Amino acid sequence: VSNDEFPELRLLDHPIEVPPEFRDRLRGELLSTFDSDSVSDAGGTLVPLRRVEDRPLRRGSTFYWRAAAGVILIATIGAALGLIARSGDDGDQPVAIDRAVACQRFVEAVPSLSTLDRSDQTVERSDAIDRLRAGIEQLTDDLARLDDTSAGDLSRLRAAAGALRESGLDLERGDEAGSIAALDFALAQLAALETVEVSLSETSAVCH
Amino acid sequence: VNTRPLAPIVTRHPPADAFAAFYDSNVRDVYSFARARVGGDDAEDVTSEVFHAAAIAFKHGREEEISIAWLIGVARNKIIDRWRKAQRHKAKAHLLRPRESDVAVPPDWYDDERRDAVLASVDQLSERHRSLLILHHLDGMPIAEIAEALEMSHSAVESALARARRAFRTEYEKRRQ
Repeated sequence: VSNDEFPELRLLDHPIEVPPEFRDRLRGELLSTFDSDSVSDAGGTLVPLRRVEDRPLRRGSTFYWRAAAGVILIATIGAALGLIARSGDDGDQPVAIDRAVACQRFVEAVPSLSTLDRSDQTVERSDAIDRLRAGIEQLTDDLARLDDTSAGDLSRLRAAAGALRESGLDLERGDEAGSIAALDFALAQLAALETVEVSLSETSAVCH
Repeated sequence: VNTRPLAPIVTRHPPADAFAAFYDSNVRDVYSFARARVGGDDAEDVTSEVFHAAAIAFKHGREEEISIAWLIGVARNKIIDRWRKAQRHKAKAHLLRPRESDVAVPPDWYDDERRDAVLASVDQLSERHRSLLILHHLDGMPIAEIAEALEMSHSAVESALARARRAFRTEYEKRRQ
């Protein structure tokens, strides 16, 4: 264009010294967020976005064996109770939630993508993020009761909910870029689901 | 029970010292970019917001995506947001472009004094004049795109840009004498 017309302005792209006080203060502030959000594991890595109630998920294979044993136990008890109920009264059909019901509940509860998009209406977006988080948490609980959703997908859904929680908090703090980064992360988690399809279109939510 | 291998549950990311090294390597470039475009306090705010976003990305295990281009992109976004809010104009996010090239001034042209004079001069401009001057002459955005981004007419951008150039020259020459 016309950079030659105003070459002086190109000087603005030369690096300038960062005020040392600001540089050091911001550095400390940023590193403290790693301390507060993270929990070191044996490998020395950090784990963000986990509420206390989510943390058992990080315990590795022991947790999963226990969870798997628990699921088998619950399924066995459920099957036994079902048999007893059916033998008592063949006319009663047990009302059980299935994926279609869980998905329907989710679709009705969450906002469309357009509501979550960048907008000046931050209150509306904050509310939409909160509704989506609540919807995903409910869906995760519902799907966890079924045996057709992989543990990996359940953890991705929980990670998405955690990221949405972070996104909402960032928005409240006025950190719009952080909020969007966390929202993108949540949507990426949904896109990576393998045994259930959960996505948001411009006008509605999708769940199969 | 599904027995296929479980996907990693924990989002792994480098420890805080990796982020600290990343910060140390890039804070100067981000601050410089912001400082050229907005005043000192605003530049600190923009830099802070950019690195908080980067910290979140690191904590989500997305550090591979984070580069100086990413940081500058977020900074540019923040700055345009500020201009938009200040001028009650709506910038279009898709017009935000990555940094096109490194500094293009002749090597023997640069000195701290000259750079400081330029910076002090643009600091004296109104936000509107500064934004037009930066978008057109530093970032190389055509007038038609600026007009679309700031929802101004082509002729309004041209005349405001002419006033911005005059204001800048006046301030700059005052400092170079």
